[in-house]
Amino acid sequence: MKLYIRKPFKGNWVILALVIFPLFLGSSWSFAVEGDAEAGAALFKNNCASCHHPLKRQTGPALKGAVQRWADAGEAELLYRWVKNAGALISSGESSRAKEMESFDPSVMTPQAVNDQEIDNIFAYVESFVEPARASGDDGCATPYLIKVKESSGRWKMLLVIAVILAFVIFAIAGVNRKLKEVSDEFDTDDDQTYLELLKDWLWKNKVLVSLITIIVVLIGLADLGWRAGQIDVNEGYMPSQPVKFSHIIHACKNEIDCKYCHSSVEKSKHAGIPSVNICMNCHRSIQEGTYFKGEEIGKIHEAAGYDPESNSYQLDENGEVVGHPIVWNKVHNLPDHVYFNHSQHVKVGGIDCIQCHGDVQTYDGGKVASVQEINKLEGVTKLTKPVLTMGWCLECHNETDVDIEKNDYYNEIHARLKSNPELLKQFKGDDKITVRELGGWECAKCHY
Amino acid sequence: MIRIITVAVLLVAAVASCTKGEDSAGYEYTPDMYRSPAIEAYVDYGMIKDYAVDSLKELQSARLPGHGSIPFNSDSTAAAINMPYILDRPIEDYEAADSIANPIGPTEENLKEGARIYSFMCVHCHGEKGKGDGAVVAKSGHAAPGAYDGALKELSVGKMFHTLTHGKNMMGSHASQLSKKERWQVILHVQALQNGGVHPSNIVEEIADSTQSSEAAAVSEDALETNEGE
Repeated sequence: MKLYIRKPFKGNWVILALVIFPLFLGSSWSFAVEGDAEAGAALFKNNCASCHHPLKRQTGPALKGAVQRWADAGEAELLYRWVKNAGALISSGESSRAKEMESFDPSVMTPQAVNDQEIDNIFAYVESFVEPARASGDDGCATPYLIKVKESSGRWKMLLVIAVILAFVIFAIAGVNRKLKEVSDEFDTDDDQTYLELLKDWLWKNKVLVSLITIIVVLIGLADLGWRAGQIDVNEGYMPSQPVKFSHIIHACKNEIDCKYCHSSVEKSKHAGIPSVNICMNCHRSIQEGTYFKGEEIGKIHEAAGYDPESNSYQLDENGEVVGHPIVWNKVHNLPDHVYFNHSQHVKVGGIDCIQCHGDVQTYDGGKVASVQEINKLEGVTKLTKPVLTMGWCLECHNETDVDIEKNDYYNEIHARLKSNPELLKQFKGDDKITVRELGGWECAKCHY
Repeated sequence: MIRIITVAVLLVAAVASCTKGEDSAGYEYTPDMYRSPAIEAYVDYGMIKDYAVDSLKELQSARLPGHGSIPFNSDSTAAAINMPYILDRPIEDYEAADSIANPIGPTEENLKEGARIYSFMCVHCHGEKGKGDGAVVAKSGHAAPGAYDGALKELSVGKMFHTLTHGKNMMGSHASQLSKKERWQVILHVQALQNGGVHPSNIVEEIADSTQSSEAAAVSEDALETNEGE
């Protein structure tokens, strides 16, 4: 693990500067560099921004304070040569800072075609740089991680309702108890009648009411049982917690990342693919702080990837392998083992949009089994009625979906066969469309084998 | 009365404990069908049949292909593209990658596929026109990649392939997301972006077309006449 170590007194310098400069300069402080910050902004964007950030460690170090650091080392003039050709400065051996930088990162800074004035402008911009405020939530995306809060409050309400019902039950039982006592008092027992006999008497006396209540209770019980049986393996709305507070709202909606970027095997495999940590790291080496949880959740990714943001390097073990581990996500969509489903067949061949089965994923955080009602509200989907991920739902869609075998190369052979046999074509195209069902989408062995 | 209250409290506890756990998917019929012993990706195989296998517990169940293995392809040119990439040092071999040529041609199909891949694999950082202004850069402050028609205008295809394979600076390796062929296809589109949206090979063809077009027109007119004559 490489660490970029400053000479110890410079750390003190920065702290000292932090304390003293505001006293002199009022609310804002900056190291005075001569140059045109506005011209520097454009130069910085074109020449420096892919490796440097004024305040953050990226491929190269944070640039704010760089002029000061070089001046402290007594090499203020050499900074110009460094920017123009860092490799040459290192090999010339004239600069102690250049030597220090060599151990910073194995990749040396690319020589830059800029003149001294432009370098001044760039550093003027860097020193005056203030982190811009993140765009607020007016981009039409939902707010992440509010859904969960609502859900849990709903659960408390449900518990409250249960408690109220139970309170009623307690009072009712107490009432019955009182009635029983009264009855027993009426009968003026000589204590030879047990409670059980008293209860029997009371039940017999009120047999109409008792049988009515019994029938109602049994009916409700049966209805509930039926409803529960209908809910077996129906997972609509299922949204388990995840080890990292990942949000599709931030990734797919705010940052406009296509589904296929992370779920990259969707066109090639049966599985859409859960992104491995290296795919997360494609962006999160640079983006180390989130909007809502700051570095906390992204830190979990760094930990899993074996990445050290301080030094911008991966931790290696003695064999040179990265010390990391996979993130164990909770599986959301799960078809039983006796069903074969293939993503590539639906997405690549069939050209089905992700939203047809997964709903508007960019409006919620973690993975969720969307309900068929919310999918039906979306534009451009086949409207279905059966619950998502049930067999009825699959068959319904296979029955309704029109396959364009003329334009889809995948069906070339079937198309040729149908064209050569007009009678068969008439049989298939009788209703003017060829559905998945007609191509075998309702055959048992298509999915169960 | 105390007895009744005790019973009631127990009932409340029992009912409350019946609410399903946050991460439970709900009722299952034949649970073993959902966590079957047959190997499936994305299933934790720490438990196989009835015995625990600690070495497999919570490990990746989507696995890497064997080292050095390549996908089978009976077409030798297609198989050659998948041969291991020899320049395997990300930083040291970067300059050497200059000499690598694109094994696939800028056919219409490849260019179209390249543009399609670019539209979902690259566009959120590099931007639609390759100016390094994608949403991840503009909205979340990711380091801005160089513009294809600016800082990266002269970037060679070999270096592009090396970068896509190993990553460079803040860009990570995309080898796990794109096959070698797809990488070359998307490079064709990047070349087009370097030249204002048209692949260099097409520019040459267009010039050739314009010089030949008058002759071609004359020929076709002749052909038309002979056809009519018949």
